[in-house]
Amino acid sequence: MIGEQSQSLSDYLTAEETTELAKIQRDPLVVGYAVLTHQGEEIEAGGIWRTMIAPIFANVFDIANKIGAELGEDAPIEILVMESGEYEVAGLSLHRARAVIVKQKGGAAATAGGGLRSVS
Amino acid sequence: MSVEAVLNKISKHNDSVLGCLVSSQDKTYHNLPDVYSMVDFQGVTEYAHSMFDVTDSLEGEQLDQIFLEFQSHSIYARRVDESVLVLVNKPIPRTVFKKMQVGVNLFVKPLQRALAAPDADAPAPDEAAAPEAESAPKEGKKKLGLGRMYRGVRY
Repeated sequence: MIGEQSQSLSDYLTAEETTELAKIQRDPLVVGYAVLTHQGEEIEAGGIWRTMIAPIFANVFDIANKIGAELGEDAPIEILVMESGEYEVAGLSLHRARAVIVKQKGGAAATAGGGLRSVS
Repeated sequence: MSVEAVLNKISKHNDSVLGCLVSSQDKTYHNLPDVYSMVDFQGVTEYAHSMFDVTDSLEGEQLDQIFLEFQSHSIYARRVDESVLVLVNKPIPRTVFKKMQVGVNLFVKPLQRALAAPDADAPAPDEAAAPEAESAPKEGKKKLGLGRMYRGVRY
């Protein structure tokens, strides 16, 4: 298990999202995560790259939305995934926040955040 | 095989692919239907470069593939040596995305060869040149610093 939930999370996540986040934090393959506002401010982060995830992926979300704008998309990016040889990073757009989850490859790595997404 | 020919093969290989493009140095090659004639694909590839560039700040790991899920499109981008390959797709689920990754892998080496060959965009290239080009991509393979010229994007 990584990280601890802060009280301010409840301002940004629904009860279901909070429950799913807790499950994600207990997943042994999840090695890092961050919850950030839609404006890119970090609400909470933990694990690998904990100080970097929020600022970097705030920019990644912004750039992804620029790609969406070029394609004529009306709505912002819903899901983004980035991969390296060892990790998968899933970025999810929720109701009032964004979540970024870093998961080691192996097993059903690509499902990181799947439950969180399903309640959004 | 020219870069355009490889891109054409990539597009034909998967029904979900609407079009694809690759940026190499200051040049962008594409295989896109007319419906996208209004889209600034140079801009799209620069944004893809920027996403990789931004995440290079994550120490110890280089993210080299991107999947973006929008309402009406999905995007798959991956580094190919110093270039970035971008596939514009119909909305696809993750399982199809995984299959697409495997499918695109088949074309990475031909694409590397085509990008490395100076006459890659010449019509009907001499097939005899292919074996020479085959060893060329290895030289540049570790140069993945990517896209310093793409820092125009805010981050």
